[in-house]
Amino acid sequence: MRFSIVSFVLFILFSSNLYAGVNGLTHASRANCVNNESISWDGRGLAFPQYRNDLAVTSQHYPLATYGSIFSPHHLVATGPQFGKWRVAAIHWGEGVHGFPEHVVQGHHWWQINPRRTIYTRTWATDCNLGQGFIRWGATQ
Amino acid sequence: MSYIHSFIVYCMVATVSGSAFAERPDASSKEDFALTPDWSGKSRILSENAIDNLDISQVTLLTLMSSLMNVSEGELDINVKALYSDLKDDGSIELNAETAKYAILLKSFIPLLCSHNEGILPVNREGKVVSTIELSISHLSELAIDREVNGLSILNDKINYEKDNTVTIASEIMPLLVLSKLVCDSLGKSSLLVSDIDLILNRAGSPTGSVVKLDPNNPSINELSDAVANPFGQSGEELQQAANKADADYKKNGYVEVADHKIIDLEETYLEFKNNYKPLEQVSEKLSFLPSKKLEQQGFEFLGAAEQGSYTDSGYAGVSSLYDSPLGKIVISETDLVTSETTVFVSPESMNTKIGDNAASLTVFKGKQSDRYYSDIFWVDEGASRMYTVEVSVNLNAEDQEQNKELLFDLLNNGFGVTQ
Repeated sequence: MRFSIVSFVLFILFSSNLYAGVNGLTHASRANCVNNESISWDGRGLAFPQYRNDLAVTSQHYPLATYGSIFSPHHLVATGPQFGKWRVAAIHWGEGVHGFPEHVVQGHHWWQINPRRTIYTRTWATDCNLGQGFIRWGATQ
Repeated sequence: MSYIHSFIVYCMVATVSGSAFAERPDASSKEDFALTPDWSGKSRILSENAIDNLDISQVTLLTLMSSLMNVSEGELDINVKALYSDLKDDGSIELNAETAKYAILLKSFIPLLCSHNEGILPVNREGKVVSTIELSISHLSELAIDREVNGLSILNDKINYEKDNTVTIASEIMPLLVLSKLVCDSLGKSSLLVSDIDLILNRAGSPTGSVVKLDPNNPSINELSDAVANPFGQSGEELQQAANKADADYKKNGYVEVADHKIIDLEETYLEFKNNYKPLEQVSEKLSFLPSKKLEQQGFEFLGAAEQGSYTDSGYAGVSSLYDSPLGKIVISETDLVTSETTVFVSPESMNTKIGDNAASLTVFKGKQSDRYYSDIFWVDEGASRMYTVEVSVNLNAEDQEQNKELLFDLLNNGFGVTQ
């Protein structure tokens, strides 16, 4: 937890990636970093409704100790369908606070562009993924 | 429980009438097994509660799975077929003795494999978390020692025990492990070796990380459509109907009508976000792949690039490049399907053109009230595992854009049509 806060502060001070997610739809997961979560966002959607999307995100959390074993136990956090949102986040609040048990987070990101085209993509995380910045993380909007 | 490297058990299921096995006993075992092993490569297996003996050469995996799940073979049929490459026409599979051993092993594992408790991890006597497979092997070993079951065969060269008691499973066992997920799901329990979509794509005959056409002639179309539609609270049928309507509208009008706020004005976007577009070389350092080169064409000016898409361990799996052109601002997005583990689902009717040798989709969108237009060209280069989208804020099907459309398509064919 202390490391996460220090990393956060340092990142905000020195990062050049604060606009990650402004120039296109971005998908990411993060693990063991206050929350365990998977998120899709397009920062342009804050100001421009045409960049809000129809999305659904499911975040799958495996205990690190059994990850990779056959039928490792897991649990899911799902947003359900979210229409016309600029940020869609499947968040397990506070699960990453204590650092143990640590998790591997897998994100399943569904993007329905129109009825004729749907995109499915996956993300993984075992840490904070600091390269993604912190500004755009947060609840579905 | 200590694990031994040679872990030989007999392929036998206790029945009322007798038993059989599929492998010779471990030389280190001192147990006196009543039955003579069959070295001809075939084995006899008796199912647990069956009356008749089953000749393994006639026992199909469908039969075994069917017995396990009390589901008819017909219902399981399509779920199993795609997992194997050497299926016979009638959908049956002839198993050799080795594969049969795994099938029986699987049967014994089902009760443990299908169970999991969220947040509760199984631990051994030392308090170390153990995997489910370790539990299963441990359980079987104990049963064999206690002579409760005369044992099951596990080939020690297929399952490797590490010093820290973890287990590595050979790839040959994958089909059976995937099957176990089907079994577990049918039993109403969850089991996650692969995500659901991987299994569904497998059954539909499509690999993940590619473009998948929702072809009505695919026997798995209902399951596939449901998988794509369900995340959005729709049924596969509803999605199919919406796609059909869009196809029909596009065929009739040359555009699909959408809500005004969905029409993208790239000039407006550029004015607002132009400072976020950087040189391609600078953006490339943040990517998980090597992007395509900038387009070189008179009249087209590269304005900048920005990272986007899935964020992976090696960087962003997508990039968008902005150009000025005779058609106004153009955005070309490129996504690496491999590092982003992306699969694209499309309606077959929407793939109405070509970029090089690749099937492509040209769609024009029109705002319902505003009469503004936005066009989108999409294709996947399956050889390079790249997905491309080209966006322009004009009606590419309009007569006055014919020359510009030809110019754009020539540029794309020359720039992207050939795998780089």
